[in-house]
Amino acid sequence: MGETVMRRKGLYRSVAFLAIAGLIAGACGGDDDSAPADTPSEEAEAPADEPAEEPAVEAGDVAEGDVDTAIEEEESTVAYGGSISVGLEAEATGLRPWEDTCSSPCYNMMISVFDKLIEMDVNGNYVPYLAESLTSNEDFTVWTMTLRGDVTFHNGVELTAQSIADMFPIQQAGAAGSSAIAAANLVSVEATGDLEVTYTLSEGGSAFPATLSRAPVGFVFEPAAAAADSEGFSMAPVGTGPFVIDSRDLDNETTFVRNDSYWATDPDGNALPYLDSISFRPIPDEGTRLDALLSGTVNAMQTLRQGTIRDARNARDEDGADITLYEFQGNNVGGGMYNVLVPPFDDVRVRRALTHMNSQEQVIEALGGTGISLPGTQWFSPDSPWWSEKVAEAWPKFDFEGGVAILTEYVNDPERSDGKAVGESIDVELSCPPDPTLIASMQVVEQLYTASGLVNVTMTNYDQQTHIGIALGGENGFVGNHQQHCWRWSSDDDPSVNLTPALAPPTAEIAEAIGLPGVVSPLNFSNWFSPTAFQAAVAATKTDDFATRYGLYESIMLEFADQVPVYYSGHTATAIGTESNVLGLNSWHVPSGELGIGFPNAEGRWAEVFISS
Amino acid sequence: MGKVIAGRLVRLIATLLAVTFLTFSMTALLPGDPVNAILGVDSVRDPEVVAKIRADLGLDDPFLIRYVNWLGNTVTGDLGQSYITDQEVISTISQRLPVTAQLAFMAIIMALILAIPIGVLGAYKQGKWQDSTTSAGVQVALSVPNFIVGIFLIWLFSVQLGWLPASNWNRISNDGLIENLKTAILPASALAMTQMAIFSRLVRSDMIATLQENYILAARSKGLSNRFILLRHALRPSSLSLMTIIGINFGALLGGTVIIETLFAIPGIGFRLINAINQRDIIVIQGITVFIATAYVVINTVVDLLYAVIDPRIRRA
Repeated sequence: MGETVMRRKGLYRSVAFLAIAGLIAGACGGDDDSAPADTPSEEAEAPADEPAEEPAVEAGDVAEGDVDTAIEEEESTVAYGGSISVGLEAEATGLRPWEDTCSSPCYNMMISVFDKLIEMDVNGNYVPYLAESLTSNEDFTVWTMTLRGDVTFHNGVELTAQSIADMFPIQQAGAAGSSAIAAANLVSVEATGDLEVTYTLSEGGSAFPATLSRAPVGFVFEPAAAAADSEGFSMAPVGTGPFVIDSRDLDNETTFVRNDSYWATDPDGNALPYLDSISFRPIPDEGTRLDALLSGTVNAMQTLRQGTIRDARNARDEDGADITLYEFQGNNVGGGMYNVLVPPFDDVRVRRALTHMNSQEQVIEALGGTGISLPGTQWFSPDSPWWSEKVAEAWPKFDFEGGVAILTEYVNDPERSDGKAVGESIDVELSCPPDPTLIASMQVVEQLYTASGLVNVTMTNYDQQTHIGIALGGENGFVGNHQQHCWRWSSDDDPSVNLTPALAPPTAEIAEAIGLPGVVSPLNFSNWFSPTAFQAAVAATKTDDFATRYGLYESIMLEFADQVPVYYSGHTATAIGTESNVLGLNSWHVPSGELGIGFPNAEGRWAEVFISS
Repeated sequence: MGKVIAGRLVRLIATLLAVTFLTFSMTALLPGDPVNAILGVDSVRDPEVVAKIRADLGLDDPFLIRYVNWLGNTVTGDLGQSYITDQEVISTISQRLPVTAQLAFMAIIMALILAIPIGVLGAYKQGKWQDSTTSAGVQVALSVPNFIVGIFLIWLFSVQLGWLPASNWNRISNDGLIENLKTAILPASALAMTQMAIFSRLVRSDMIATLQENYILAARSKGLSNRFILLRHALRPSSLSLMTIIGINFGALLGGTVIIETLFAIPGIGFRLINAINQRDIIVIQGITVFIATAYVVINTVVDLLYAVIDPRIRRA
């Protein structure tokens, strides 16, 4: 094993050191950008074709989630024309893919004006979109992409391979693009033909297609316009997408109108998009956003809050509101971490005990998600091809008495790591951002812990940016002073995107001790390090065989279940609600004619949305 | 009069200095490194970029040096540029100020329309059931937070009746006055409720005092109608303190619409301030806070001066 580690040292260094993007995004905020990924190779194959057995048991506890809107062909006759407005949970910071960190609201806007090179189909495969094909060499270090022909940007400039090559220096200099490029180990982008682009990676990565499917690198913008006026581009973005910017009134309304020369068609050959225009309105208050939909102020709205999904369901089912809810149970799972370098969390008994004492069912109820969100046992939801029944069974579930017994053992251990006297309660600082539902869930946990008589709980709340900064721990070598810290894990991207940096050595000392000096990942927020887990994470980026990758990620999740560096409070259900005559959100297609992934993370694709007559 | 103005201006400058110092101190005391907030994950990636941003923000300088530099720029109208959106703070404010000012103005007008009759009625019918009823109503209006009023108004006029939009803002320049008013009336009403309560109590108490003046008795003895006495002889002298409080509250509303603007998704100064706080956009937070504080202090000073102009006794004092 030592030999293996040495042989792969360079590989580890680059992965851990460079592949640092994205996690924060998906982490605390839950809905940020970051490149997804999945099985790559020749034209991205399908994990869903592989094992992905029907889960025999529900994930986690006894609470049951029921969030799933089928992705299926629309049976209504499509109609052209009309305008809709969509209520978003926030304003997009900017519309420059290379510069502005893009979260779920922003994606709804960006995907209207920019096309992705690669998209995800209904089975979770990465498939060509603006690209026509994408292939790699054997070790995944060189990727060759062929673009579609006869595509023009909104300003009339033709899309060529040189456009993609010219985007690269802009992306490298951008705040969002640079980290994604580093994470992908992308070192050069060259036009090797009129429509042929060659990507070269310093370390092969089988999940590279994922990078081409998300904002910083995957969205195609007109490089000359971007270079000419970066700030202005944010207000007047130029892409190849289905809609063209019409007006942008920050914090109020951004309107896009139909791109009459859009290249894509529906499977019947009808030109897209169907709508004449679409506008997006930031409405941060969840209640107002739902009321805006119910009152017809907007025609659609997104939510990433289970409480709002509950209220929308009630409005539909009990009050007869004429709305449709497109619900999605994603891999993103709430919960948190234990800082394993801070006593008493350095003792797995404490982590395990606290996890046993934490009732996900009650926390989900406090979050308003009963019947909506599934309890978590791993970084994948039961409908994900990566979900493992074995892990679900192994995860320490709610067992209050069992947790108390384990904690009692620690408390009575004369060698206990926190240095307290035998029999003394442990101290736990539980910290979450000051969101009312998170505070409610903290209170549930605090009551459970306190009821054991073995835990002194201190609850703290800092704004989200400070919360993230505390977990980063830049002031003390990225160890952080956090203890039990609310966080979000995972996304619907390829598992490598979030897992690899989260498993790399968290400190210089640990890296040194295992023979990987300098390989430090500040994004290992729990500071838990396992050579086997890290090795598995890296190995998973070196193959495109789904079964092999599945086994590797399953082994990592099993280690999580055993060592419990993180805990869960339920998967993050999201939804897009529409007036019932607004159709097509769950039936958009990739160019091959296959159905697309739908609306994960409340990110809609609006080109095939239409207003039913 | 010149002495009065000079005195007020000295106080104004001293107050503004204190306000700017407090604003700067408070944002400087916020926990966490602003560079983390600006760069997020990039803050651990590129030390050179981090160093440049720290230098740009002057974060490596001593606190007082930073304050003096920032104050120097602020005095010349340079409130800086948002690191998140790249937008100049001054242009952010100038784009949003008309929205917030319109809301505040409408709220004041709507409040006055209700408050004056209620206050006059309460004073004229002092101690009677009309007074008790209006006082109780005013007390309720004063007690209910304006965001609760806002939620209720959305539920009633948007969701149930479908008369008015629940959120966002139609600009006069794009959509015309009527469409603009449709989006303004609910948030302005929510803001007006508390103002109405304050104004009507003030009018009532001032009117009660005025109605006991000898010249009112003289007017009554001349056989003038109650309406004439109330509106011509009693209301005008009772309006002096009302004018003062209107000015003060208008200034307060410029910075006090944060919750209502957020609730209704109105693109005013308050909404931008909340976004800046969430994004930890310190330059914008400082700029908007100082602007709001300055507006408040300036309006108060102007009201003070007008008061002195209107009432010679104050001028002499």
